[in-house]
Amino acid sequence: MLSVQNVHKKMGQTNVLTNVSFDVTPGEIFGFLGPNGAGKTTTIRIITGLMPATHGKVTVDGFDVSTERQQALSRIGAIVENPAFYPYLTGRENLIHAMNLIPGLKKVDLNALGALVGLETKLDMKVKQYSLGMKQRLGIARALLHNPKVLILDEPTNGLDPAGIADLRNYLRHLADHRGIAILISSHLLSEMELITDRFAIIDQGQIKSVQGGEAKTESVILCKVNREQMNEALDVAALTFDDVKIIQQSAETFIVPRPESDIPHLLNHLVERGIAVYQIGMKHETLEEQFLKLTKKEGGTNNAFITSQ
Amino acid sequence: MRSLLANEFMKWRRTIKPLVALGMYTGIIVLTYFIVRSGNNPGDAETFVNYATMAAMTFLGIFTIVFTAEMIGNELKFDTLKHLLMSPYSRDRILLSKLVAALLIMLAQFVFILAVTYGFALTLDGELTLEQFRNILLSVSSGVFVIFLTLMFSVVFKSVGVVIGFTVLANFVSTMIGGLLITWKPAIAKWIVFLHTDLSIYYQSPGFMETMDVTIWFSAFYVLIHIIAFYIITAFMFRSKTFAE
Repeated sequence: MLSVQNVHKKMGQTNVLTNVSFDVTPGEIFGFLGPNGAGKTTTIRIITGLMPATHGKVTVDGFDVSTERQQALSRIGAIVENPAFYPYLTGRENLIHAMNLIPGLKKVDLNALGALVGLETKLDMKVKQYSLGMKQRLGIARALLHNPKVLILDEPTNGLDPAGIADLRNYLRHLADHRGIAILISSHLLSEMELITDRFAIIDQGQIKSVQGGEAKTESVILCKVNREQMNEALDVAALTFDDVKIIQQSAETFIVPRPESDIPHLLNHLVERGIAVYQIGMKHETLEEQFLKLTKKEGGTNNAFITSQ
Repeated sequence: MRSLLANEFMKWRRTIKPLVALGMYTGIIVLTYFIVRSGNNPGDAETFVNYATMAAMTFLGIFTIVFTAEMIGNELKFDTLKHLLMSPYSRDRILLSKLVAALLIMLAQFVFILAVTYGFALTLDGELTLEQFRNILLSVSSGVFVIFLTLMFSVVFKSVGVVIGFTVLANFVSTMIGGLLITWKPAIAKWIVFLHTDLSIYYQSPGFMETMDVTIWFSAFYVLIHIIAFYIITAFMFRSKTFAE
């Protein structure tokens, strides 16, 4: 549905994007992760026609954004950077304004749309009286106004409370599953992205570092917690059990073994046979944040400003 | 295009400024009415229309600059321009809708001024002539020119205040320098476009333009060339700028 192919963007002498490629299929929620200045917003600006690419192609439902602008952009609903509105107009008037920007858009039930995002009683308030969370909701309503095939949300959970974030997550899942909308979300909230996305791309310094699917989303290792006085013996047992694997001690009483879940009984038997007190054993999944840190780690082991600020 | 125009009108009429503008036009016309009627030798309808339209048109010029500057400036201020530019409509159409809206808003205010002025004039003695009406109509040309100029500054500068300042400054300085040159170097003065924007001057102060040895057709053509050039520059910049922060 959304296809970004070998997009390259040069600003002055700087390569802002280099061969950025990914696809988002109908009904899929695709995460777009990256530190500040990585090129996320530039990519989104190119997709939404706000900025031309130096090379490469962006298509929406088969229509090229640069050469078939009207067809391509009428299939996109988006919030770029932050939901901006005319503060002196009401929520309803802002939605009418957005309706007028879509050629051929027939009557839209704005009350139903307002209800969908929880603003049914607030649509006739001026936007300057809205909270940031309400503006986010109105922004989503505006993006969905014309039933787009591709929804692009840049930091959509900004300003939402935990309940609002959960609602949004459920709602986006519903849109993807029931309406088949392809959703591209860029966010800094990695834990939220982990919960919401089917696949994700990690971008850093203008390059896609990794595009991963749901099943490959996390790497898993066996995590074992034992009596700290028996740690050395436990490490020996684990090394003997899996002689080709590097055992990593995580703390005074935990160690990890990079083996699949099916090896847990095997390891547990050996530890128990040697009389080692095992307090806990199970799989530890590598979080999205850990993968993100790994992929965006800079030389010298220092992560960039985004990571250190988290 | 109609829907884009509807948006521009909605954004314009939902602020307080149109009401302020209409209030000021009415106020200045009423004030002129009482001044003309007062004294031992009250003026007639023609005198009143002359003074009232002259005063109101000065305000119209200022409000035209403000409203036009805000058409793009407010989009940048509220960060809403990106939503306009993400729309399936081309940038050329979006810019054209803003230009047409600015022209129509200026003309609507002009009609309001005419209606109020002539309404009050009917209560005064004396005849109203077609020549006077023609002169008032011709003075609209300066409003049209100022819209194109302001729109061009709007795509160059982000701040509404700077756009207004530059437009007023360009008008003021050019007219002042032009006024001086007419006396000393009329052959040079005739190339200052700001001296040609109000075509009614050919009937109200014909000697002024005769000094420069120009005709109304020369002025009209010269102004037309400028507004076309301004629009080409505006369209080129509006099309090529990313308007990113």
